Amino acid sequence: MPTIIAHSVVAATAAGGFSSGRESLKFWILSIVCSSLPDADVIGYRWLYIPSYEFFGHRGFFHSPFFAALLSLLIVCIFYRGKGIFSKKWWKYFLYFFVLTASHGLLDAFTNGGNGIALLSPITNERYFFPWTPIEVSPLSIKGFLSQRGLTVLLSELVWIWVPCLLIAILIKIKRNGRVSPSSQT
Amino acid sequence: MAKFMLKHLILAIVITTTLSCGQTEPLALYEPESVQEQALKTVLLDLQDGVNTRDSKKIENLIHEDASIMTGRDRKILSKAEYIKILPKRLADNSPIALGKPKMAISDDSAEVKIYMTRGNYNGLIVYNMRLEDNKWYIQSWKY
Repeated sequence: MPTIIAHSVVAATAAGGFSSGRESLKFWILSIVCSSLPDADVIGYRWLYIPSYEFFGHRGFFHSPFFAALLSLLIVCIFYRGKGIFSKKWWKYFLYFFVLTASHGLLDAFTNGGNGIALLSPITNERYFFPWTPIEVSPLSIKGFLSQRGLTVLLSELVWIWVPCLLIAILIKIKRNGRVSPSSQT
Repeated sequence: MAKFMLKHLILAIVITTTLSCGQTEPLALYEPESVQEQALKTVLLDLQDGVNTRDSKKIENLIHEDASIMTGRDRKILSKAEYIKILPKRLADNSPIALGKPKMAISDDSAEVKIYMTRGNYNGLIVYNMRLEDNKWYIQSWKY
């Protein structure tokens, strides 16, 4: 997996693009939770003797777009029910949280180690990587992360995740400023 | 708001650190619940010892003739003969291992043993399938 930091960077970028500065703290926290929650399956791996290649194993069902849809549905039903179920705004939030959660598994599929991702779960537990895997896989343990390996992983994420996210954030800002400027001149 | 976020960030770091530590109890301290569990524990302790003393002959004797062994980051499956060929180099290249508390499921002449293994900074779950033959347990396969 990329580190939890990288997933949070993606979440912050997406949240910044979606919110236009008017969203609550709840929205930002939910964004970070959605992008990182799939890795909670590591609890099963580390404590409950669930091998990573099993259905509920690490990078299994909880990394699939299907789970992303379920989580997103749960979130909008609990936290955004005031927007009116199936309203345009409701769908907008649903899609946002879905894409954010699904981004976790997709990013993991760009890493160069560990098991592949069960992108088609629950239909099949087959694990997949993308043909191009430039991101260094992060160790699962904190001890592993606080080693030379951790530094290598962070450098790789800097190039392949943080910098692209920063560029996207800048582009969004430029686009927004461009949109605001003409009206502010009137 | 910053205080709120900082509080939650610290909480998240503490939880993540705790959870990522995983099982740490060593195999040697595990108390088997039956004679068969004791026999399986002995095989795994021998395997740990074989790896740590780089004794490929000792490891070879623990593996069943029809075994299929998973190796490397690409999870390639090898036969016993193929594995034995590369074993001395693997033992020389890799650091020592420490096996943790196992979870065993035994049925007649086969058993599945799930066990945490630490090697350097790596800590992961290994699943050993064992076979009882001529009153002796052998490693039939392992996966991770």
